[in-house]
Amino acid sequence: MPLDTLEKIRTRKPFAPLDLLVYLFLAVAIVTAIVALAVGARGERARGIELFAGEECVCTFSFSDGLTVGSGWEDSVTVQTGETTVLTVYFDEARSEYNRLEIDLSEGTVVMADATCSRRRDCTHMAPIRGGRGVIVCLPHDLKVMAIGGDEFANPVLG
Amino acid sequence: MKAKSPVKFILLFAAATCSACSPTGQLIGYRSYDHFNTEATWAFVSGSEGAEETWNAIKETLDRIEYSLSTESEGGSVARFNACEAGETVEIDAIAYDVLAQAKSYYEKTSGAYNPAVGLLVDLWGFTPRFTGASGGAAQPYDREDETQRLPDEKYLTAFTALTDFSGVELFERDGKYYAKKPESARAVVCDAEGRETEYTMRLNLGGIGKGYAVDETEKLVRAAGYERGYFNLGGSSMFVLNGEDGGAQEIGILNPRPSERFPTQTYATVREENASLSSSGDYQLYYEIDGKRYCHIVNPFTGYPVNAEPQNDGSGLLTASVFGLSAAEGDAVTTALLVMGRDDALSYIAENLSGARVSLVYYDGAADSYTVYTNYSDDRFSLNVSGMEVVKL
Repeated sequence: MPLDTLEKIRTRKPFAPLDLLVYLFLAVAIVTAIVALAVGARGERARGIELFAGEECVCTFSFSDGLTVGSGWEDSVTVQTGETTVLTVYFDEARSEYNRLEIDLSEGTVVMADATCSRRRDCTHMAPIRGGRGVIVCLPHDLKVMAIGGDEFANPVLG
Repeated sequence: MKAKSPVKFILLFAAATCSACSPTGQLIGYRSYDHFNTEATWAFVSGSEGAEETWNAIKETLDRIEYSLSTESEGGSVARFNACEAGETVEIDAIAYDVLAQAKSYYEKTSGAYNPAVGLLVDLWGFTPRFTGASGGAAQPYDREDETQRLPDEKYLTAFTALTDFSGVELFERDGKYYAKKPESARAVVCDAEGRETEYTMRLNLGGIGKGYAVDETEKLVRAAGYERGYFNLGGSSMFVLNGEDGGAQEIGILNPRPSERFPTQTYATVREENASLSSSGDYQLYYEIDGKRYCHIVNPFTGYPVNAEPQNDGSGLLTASVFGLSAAEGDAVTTALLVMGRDDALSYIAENLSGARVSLVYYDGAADSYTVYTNYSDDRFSLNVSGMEVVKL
């Protein structure tokens, strides 16, 4: 490198106005990349869940707006709010047949906490709905719980 | 620095960044709940053409395979084999022949640890569709009043364990038709509590490998239709992955077999894979507990008990096994076999037979109350999602 070029580099001001523009641009680019990676790694969260009995919509539960009950199910769905939100679907008038979901609104997770479907209650062993992915199925009650929205097809889960 | 250089630099940098982040297509997909009593998910990149036709072809394929292999479908090949007498030969369809031929190969490779002839034992322990609510089915003399309270009668355990010699099943082809012969010796007579004698013969249960076979057939369809990105997942236990939405590897979570306060995450590990089939077996989705001991749907053909639930077992054993890089059908058979073998034999089997595949196992030591993950994954393709499980590299 010629000596006069080295001298220019050594003596010029490091914070010239246009150089500051470059530094600012780089800082914004780096912060944006970090935020994008963090959000992307988590995937988009579900906005709520929808429940189907066979092909019939039982209800939807939005994590922000709450419950909307499907036609004909008005007397069969209850929601209790508290530390955990509990959504219960009843399948008979005596309310002895039910599936009970626990919803963690802050985490956006849903788990089948209890059911009277069978002695084994296989649906209560299913993985929770989390991060926009997953489904919980209760075969004896023909009930499906599915996430609404979210990045539901990203990053499959094995097991 | 010249006056125009910073502006030029910013423009060049922005152009390079935008190029690197250009949209590659989000994964969208279809779901179905109509096959194998579980969920089928096909994901592909948005903008793909002809997806609906491919999805319909996938569902037709799943229909045909399920009909052939289900123990419940009236007229299906496996259902007819199960219903036939010992020594009888039944005509089966090409699907059942293909799957049974593969099953015999895996049975031999795993020295009988994978054995589809455990059908009666699976029913005895209460893990067939008539128990899980998917379909009805007549009560049997060996049914317990409440299978979650009482163990099966020992005489049925002994009799049904003796009916698992899958090597005796003969398969053959004649004039373009396929046949399976049930061994003459595969019969046992058991006297029930009221003194009535009932004859039982060998029954097959191809539930696990059947899903893997369906995944393999679906992969052929999807690839033939030109898809290079996405995945197909059948019930979570069998799937294939192509490239990810960005054309590279996909991240796949492996379910945590013991979600709890100690291990609160949904998955215990994440792996990175592309263009591979994956299979997993575990004791954590279909099970019940009696006196604190877990009885799961995977039955050990040598003992007749669910894996890790033999009377002398303190709960120690492999909780889950996942294999990546075999066909899905072989993966299903191998993961089941690894659980049956137990840790030490499983590790030997992996060393001797699975050098080309990636595996991940979770072992629980009941005496030490400790969990160990055994894997041959490289660090750049495997990450542990829980703390408190020791990782042993194979």
